[in-house]
Amino acid sequence: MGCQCKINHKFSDRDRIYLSVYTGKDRAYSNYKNTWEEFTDEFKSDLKWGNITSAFRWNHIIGKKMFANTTVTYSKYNFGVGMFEKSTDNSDNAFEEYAFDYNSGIEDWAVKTDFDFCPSVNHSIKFGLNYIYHTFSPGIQAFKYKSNDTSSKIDTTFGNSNIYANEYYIFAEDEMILFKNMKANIGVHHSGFYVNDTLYTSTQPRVSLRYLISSDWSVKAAYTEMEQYLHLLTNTTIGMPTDLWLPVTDNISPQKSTQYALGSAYSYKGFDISIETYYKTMSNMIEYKEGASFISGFSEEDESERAWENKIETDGKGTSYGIELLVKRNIGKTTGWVGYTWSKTDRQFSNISFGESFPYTYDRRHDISIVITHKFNDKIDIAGTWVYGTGNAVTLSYESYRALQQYYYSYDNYTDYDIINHIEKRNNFRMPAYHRLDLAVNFRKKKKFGNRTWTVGAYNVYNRKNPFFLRFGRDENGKKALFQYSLFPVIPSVSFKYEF
Amino acid sequence: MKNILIIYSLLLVLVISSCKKKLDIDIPEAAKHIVVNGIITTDSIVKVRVTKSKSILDEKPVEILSSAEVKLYKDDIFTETMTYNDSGFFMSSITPVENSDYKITVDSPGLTSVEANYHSGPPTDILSVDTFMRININDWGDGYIDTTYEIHLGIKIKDDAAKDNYYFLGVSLYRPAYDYSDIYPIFAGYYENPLYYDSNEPFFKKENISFMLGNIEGQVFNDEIFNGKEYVINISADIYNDYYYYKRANEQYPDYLIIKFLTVTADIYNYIISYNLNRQSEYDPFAQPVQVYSNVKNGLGLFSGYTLSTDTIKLNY
Repeated sequence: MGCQCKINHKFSDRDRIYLSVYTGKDRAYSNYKNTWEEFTDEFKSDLKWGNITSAFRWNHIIGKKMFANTTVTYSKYNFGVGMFEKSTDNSDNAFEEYAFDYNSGIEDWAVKTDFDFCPSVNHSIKFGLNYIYHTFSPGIQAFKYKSNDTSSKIDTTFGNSNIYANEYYIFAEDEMILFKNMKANIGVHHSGFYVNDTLYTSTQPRVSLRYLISSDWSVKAAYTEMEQYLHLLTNTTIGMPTDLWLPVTDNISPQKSTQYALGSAYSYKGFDISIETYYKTMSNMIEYKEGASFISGFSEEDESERAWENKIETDGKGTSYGIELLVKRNIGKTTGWVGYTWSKTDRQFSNISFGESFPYTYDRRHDISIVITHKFNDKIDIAGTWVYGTGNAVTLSYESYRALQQYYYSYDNYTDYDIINHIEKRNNFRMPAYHRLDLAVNFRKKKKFGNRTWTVGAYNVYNRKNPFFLRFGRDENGKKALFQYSLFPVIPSVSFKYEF
Repeated sequence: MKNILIIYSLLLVLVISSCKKKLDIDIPEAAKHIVVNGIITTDSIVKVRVTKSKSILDEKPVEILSSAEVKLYKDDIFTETMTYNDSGFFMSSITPVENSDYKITVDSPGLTSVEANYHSGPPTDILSVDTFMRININDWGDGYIDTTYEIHLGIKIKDDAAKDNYYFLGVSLYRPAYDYSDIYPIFAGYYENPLYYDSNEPFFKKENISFMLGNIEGQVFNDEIFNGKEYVINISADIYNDYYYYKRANEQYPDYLIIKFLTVTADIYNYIISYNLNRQSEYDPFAQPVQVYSNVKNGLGLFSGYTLSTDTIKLNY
């Protein structure tokens, strides 16, 4: 569920302001209740996330050759996950129940100013500076335990302390014509991040070149170094996806990347065709340790056992490479684009999967997007979007075998040894692919004081059951099976817009 | 209102069906693997278990590959084809010796052949064991007293600097059994039980819980913090006794502590650490699943071994 508002006001020929606010709040949940002969089991899980983004931008034209944008933004992102499990003995109603709750979030205040300066036809210079004040809430956990034995009740809340950080960057780049048909963009980006009395700084060169072979055909190359002070920590289980954005700290270094890109663009009969390949190396990546859980450690007396920093590996390397193809049409009654990306992204940590590289959670081998708009006349147009993406990589065991270790609770000769659920390596399994079609028809009309638009559409037109998470359970015959849970079936929508 | 543009939108969403759906999805039919499990040592003949892995959805018992062809090699020379016996093991006729390489190959129709290797190195001697015992007496009244003997051991070893070493320490209590059917207990032979110990040594990591290696229970560790040095490993354990009986009986049939210091392979170390983590993460839905180490090429399981040094200490209560 979301709400969006934009205001744009022109004060003078030199000054214009923009204000935009977006708030969104979503929740996904699942509940199960199974009644067996002796027991009743209940399981509930709950995932909720919400964000607010707001921006106030002042566009000021300083002179004929220079203008500036100054922006103040506020954003807040919250993420929460909960789980409840209850088991009841049907004969005497004796029960045991557990509940976990986990909440984390990021709140940012930022201010930035960017300048665009065109001293001559051969140079277009951009420069600017930015400051962000971050408040990270890496995780508040609550654990509850209740049973008919009231003496063993637990109701406790604990969490990682908030982390406050100051981030800045300054940059300058010049898009210049080096010689006929040859354009270069050379820039430098300097940033700093101050957290827990530790200052990280980084200076990153960026270079890109573009050569016009003919008026409708160009080739380009780019080299970029980047350093990022936020880490995305994702779980790799088949359960509910939990993405946490976490800052660098005095113990966790910024992630670094170097990217090389080569591309070419060609225009042909109203179509813009571009192809680009890239190769990127990354270092200082983070991932959960083997066996680590972001909700674990609640029973530990030592607070460090619960700290998120102790649950992650920090020596990760990664590579990502791919090829992107885009065909675009901007003219005519039918416009839109078709995009296809083939890519491969992996990670390698010395203490995960015994040092072998493994696919990144969001490694997406194929990514397709088709966006088409057809304008019937000034009053009616139709827009369709179809997206396809290879499923996320998750860790799933689909093979089991007898362990070396003896299992103490044996019942027969064949199960007297423990059984290991075998995992080939982390992220060894692909969730089913994600795809869906969205359609919308716009009905426009010019009114006395503006333009109004009614839009009738549908999200996920063919009701694709895209995977959200997987869970082992039992089918109607009592056999063990893997189930997929999905969100968002076909959702019709009607929207109204009025432009003054 | 000149030059002012306001965009205002309202989105109405109609949800016509539930937001969650349950589907069966296919699990890839996992290629089945030969699973070899065997820990060999210099005091018993080579024997291994050979089974077949199965689908995670398969709830039938594990299949024992009793008709597999299991070949044993020593120092790359074929030694014998091992024979299956009804205890579930493939047995050989040889006992491993130190400083030798052992290789096992397993073939079974319809499955990819596997092999695994083990190098039997020299044992690491226990140089000395220092003991210290503290007695805690509990008087429960009516003449009934029991005692807890808190024993502290300092086990000194010398680590080989030339390579990374992995060890496993087990301690057992070897004590007399008594027949209590008479008014006075009657000696009925000796029995051996593993003794659980505590330690503040940093290498006994928290996730490194007790493991049964062959028939020895203990904990695995590496030489990272004492590489190439003499090192005293400090552990402590509690021994529970009935004071009167043991005080009297101990003079004739004393208790013994048997310290078993195993020099193991990196394969065993990796297996135990990953196995224990795998077990701990099994029931937490948010825990990252853990891959268990295997040294069986094209297959699963563990074929490895250890060399053993022991020291026996008579306990004087």
